[in-house]
Amino acid sequence: MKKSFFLVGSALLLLACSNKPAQKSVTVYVSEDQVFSEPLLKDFEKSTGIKVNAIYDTEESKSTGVMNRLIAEKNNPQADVYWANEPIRAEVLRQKGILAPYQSPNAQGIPNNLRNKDYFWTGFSARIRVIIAQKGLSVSPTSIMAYTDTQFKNKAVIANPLFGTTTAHMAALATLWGTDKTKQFLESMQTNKVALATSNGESADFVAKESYAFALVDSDDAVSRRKAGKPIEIIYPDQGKDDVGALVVPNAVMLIHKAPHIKEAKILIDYLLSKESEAKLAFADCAQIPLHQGVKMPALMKPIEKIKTMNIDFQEVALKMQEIQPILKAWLAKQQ
Amino acid sequence: MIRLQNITLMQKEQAIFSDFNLHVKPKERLVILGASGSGKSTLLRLIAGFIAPQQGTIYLNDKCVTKNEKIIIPPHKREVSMLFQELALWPHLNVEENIAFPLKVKDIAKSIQQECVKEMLCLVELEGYQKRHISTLSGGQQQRIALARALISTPQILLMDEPLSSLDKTLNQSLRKKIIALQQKIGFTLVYVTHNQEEAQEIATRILDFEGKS
Amino acid sequence: MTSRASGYLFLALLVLLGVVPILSMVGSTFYDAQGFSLAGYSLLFKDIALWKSLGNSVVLAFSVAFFSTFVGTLLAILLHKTNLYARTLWLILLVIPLLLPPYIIAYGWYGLVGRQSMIGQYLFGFTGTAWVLFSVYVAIPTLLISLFLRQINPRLEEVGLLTCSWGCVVKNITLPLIQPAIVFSFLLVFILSISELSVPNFLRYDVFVLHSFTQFSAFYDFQTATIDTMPLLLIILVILWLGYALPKRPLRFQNNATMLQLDVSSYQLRLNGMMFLLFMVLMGLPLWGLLSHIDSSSFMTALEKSYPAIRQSLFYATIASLVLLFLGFVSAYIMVYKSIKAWHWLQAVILFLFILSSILLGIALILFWNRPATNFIYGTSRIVFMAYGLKYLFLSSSIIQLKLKQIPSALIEVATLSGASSRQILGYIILPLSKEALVVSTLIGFIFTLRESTLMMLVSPAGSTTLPLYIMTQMANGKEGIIASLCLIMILLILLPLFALLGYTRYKGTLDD
Repeated sequence: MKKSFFLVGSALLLLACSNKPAQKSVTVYVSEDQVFSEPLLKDFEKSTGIKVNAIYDTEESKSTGVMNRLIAEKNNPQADVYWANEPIRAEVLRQKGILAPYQSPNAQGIPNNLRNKDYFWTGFSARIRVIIAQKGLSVSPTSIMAYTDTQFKNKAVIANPLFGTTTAHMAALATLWGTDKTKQFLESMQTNKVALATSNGESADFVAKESYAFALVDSDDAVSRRKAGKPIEIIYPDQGKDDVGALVVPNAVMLIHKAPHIKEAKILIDYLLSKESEAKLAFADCAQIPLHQGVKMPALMKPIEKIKTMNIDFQEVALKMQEIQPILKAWLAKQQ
Repeated sequence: MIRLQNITLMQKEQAIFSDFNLHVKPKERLVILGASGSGKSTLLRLIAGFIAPQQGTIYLNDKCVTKNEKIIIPPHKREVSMLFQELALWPHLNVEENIAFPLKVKDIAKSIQQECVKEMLCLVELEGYQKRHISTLSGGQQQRIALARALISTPQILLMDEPLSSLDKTLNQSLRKKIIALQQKIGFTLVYVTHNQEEAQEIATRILDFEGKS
Repeated sequence: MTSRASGYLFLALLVLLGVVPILSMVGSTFYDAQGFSLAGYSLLFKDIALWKSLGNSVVLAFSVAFFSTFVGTLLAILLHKTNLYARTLWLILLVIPLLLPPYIIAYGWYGLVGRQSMIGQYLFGFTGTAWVLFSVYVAIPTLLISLFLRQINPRLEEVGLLTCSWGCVVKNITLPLIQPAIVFSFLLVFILSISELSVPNFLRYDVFVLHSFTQFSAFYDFQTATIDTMPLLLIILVILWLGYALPKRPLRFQNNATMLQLDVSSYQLRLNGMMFLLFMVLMGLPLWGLLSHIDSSSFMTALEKSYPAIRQSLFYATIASLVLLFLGFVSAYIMVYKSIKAWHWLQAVILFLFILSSILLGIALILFWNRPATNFIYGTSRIVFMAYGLKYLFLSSSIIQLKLKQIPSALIEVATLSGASSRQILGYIILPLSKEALVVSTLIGFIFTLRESTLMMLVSPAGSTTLPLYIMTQMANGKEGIIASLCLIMILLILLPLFALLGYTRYKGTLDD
């Protein structure tokens, strides 16, 4: 093999352009659906002139997830900011030492239980875990216990509890009920022949197509089907005096420890936590509920102060989530 | 035995044969002599039934086998055997399987196949070579195996397309004698193609100096 | 003829870039915070659900491999050994699903039959998964076997024709001669099917690779996830060994052979009708499933939104195809002219990297290259080109090897005797004679890197989403019309280089496929 070929070959490889642009940039890993998050990041680019290099999560059950890239890259972080679509992941990352604390001026006004006490992550623009139900049901499923109600046998569906907000929901219940009661709940769901969907979106579609009576989904899934004119109603579960309340799942934004572009990262975090961003996400198809008070939002959704929410500590939920994973895995294996 | 009447064959706009006629008598050893590209191999392929002329008729044993672009009797029903220049021994079969193939496809009993193969190997002086692989044989040995394969089904007509051209002089001469002896013993009609004058003169009962045009 | 040292250097580089990360990953599974430990492996053996899913994967892979090889053999004979009209068109249509990200076919079927219909119920689970994978991979044995069919010395078949009919000749002579292609096709499709993730995941069939992904996605447990992939790695190594251990028959191949063709004039209508039906069930119906959700406004929106991803895809594919061309030529040269004694090892490494699951390769690359010292590779496009180069080197190398083997050694020997140096022989003889193969290899490299999604998902730097990846992210919550439009754009993007390839080969009168 001649030297010239090695030279040509090397030249080719070196020619492969680096992704380090001359202009200011920030790298963000995003677990919030790209459909909703990308427009906001594009607005940030336009308003600040800082280029955003984003990696988006693919449909959750398919990918390694950006979470895992963050964990894999711990010793040599590539990301500056992580935008999670729920705070459990943020807690897991905090426990693994991947985050750095940052108290954004725009964090003021956000409820204390929806951020980390040391500002390792801050919540914004929340979803509520709601029940999407077919219109005109003779009995309305007003509680998540409807999953174990025999009058709904074979008629309900839930997203895969190993991923995303459904996992968070199970972990949250476990902190309130205890692990045993949660396990019983899962087993009762199996006895009641609850079907399994790959995602909240799929669950919502099933209900919208009248394949199932109801499903526990995120509020944005329910709102988007309502906006599309599907015959569904949105129920805030467990709103009674002695009930557990609905789970609030805020987005969470956090600074990565040893981020390559700390200054730009903080600017992005401030932007995402602003009232303007929350308003944009409220009016987008994701219809997410602002955590700052006084932010304009569509009439379709209730403001957070009017909803009875679960009283949980996300740090505890994150620990519980890891504890119940073998239970969830075993449950899923039986289900399949 | 073999009759070609008014054969016209065009290939790639070139006339290979134009109103060509040929009659080969039974048990005749006809050698077709000619330079490369004169149409000798094409003639054999016409007789074998691999190609058909645009015009003309071919008879084998007074039976019309090809007429005007239509192959009436396919090659495997013509009782014709052929020996190619490159021998075309099947590399995935051993000596016995190569030779026995024409019998095997006719569902002849295995024991009879083995007997016939043994007889053929004796005829070509390669006794005991049944289980050998083709790739382990010399050029001359492969030539003889190909000959044995061609003869095992006792064809009425044997076509040979420059079968000895790649062999050395000594082997060439010895195999020529073998071919003649076999032809005389078995009694098939031989159509032999070569460009070697000496070979032609030794083998032939009749030589056709072939330009392919008449 | 070539510098031995350079050849060994090339091999060493390949091993360093491709094999060492895998070995490093495997090695890491034997250590935990306390040191050497087999705890992870003991858990592996106790995980019944995992072994059950492995069983599912093996059954799925075997079924897909068996049926695609069987049908592919028949199609190869029909499309390459007969005078069927429009056979080139059928071949092109057959190849299209292979060039797309497999989940697009699955999505098309989902769009057509949904979930709750009678057919839809069969779509999800083993049947649908096997069917979609069959649709995608049947082209592989068809192409491979066609390649071998073209090389058979026609005299071998003509001798047979003197004693029996075409059917008998195909059964007793043609098929045995192409047995290596049949076996290799089976093994290749088996490996690809057992490593496939996107389709079984979408269609909800519990397969082995999903377990590892679950460990990554849900439990963030890298070590367990890596250990979970070890059975798959073992299977791949066994199959690689099988490929080498199987007895090889010496085959006589003919240069530029005129293939013997079976005359099917009387059956044209029936056979073409059959091919049309086959096309409809393999590609036509899922395509309809996609198209039915598209309107002009969703298509334009999709085009506008995906433009950066399209640009990125084309950029990566262009550079990657050139990288593959260079590496492919070097490796082909070494293997054909046996420049180094260890050329067998080079062949083995290239094949191993090709059949290695993209998940394993991607994870190994991340774990190995993501260090401060190698930041100039990781986190830049270079890691992408490295990944593509390692994954698809086998394809480009094989295409070029085929051509190099056809160059008579006498041509090179005469040049040597005339006093030409190795460089001159390369420049004046070998390169000009292998021009067509170099072009074909580049286009094939372009197509395969364009469609790649799993590797990109794992190693792509931030801000460099490609179209296949963009489609996957949109599937989470995008509108059906947009997703379908994106799939259509992907199909069109693949068709462009495919038609370029076909046009070129037609013009040159070489390979049809």
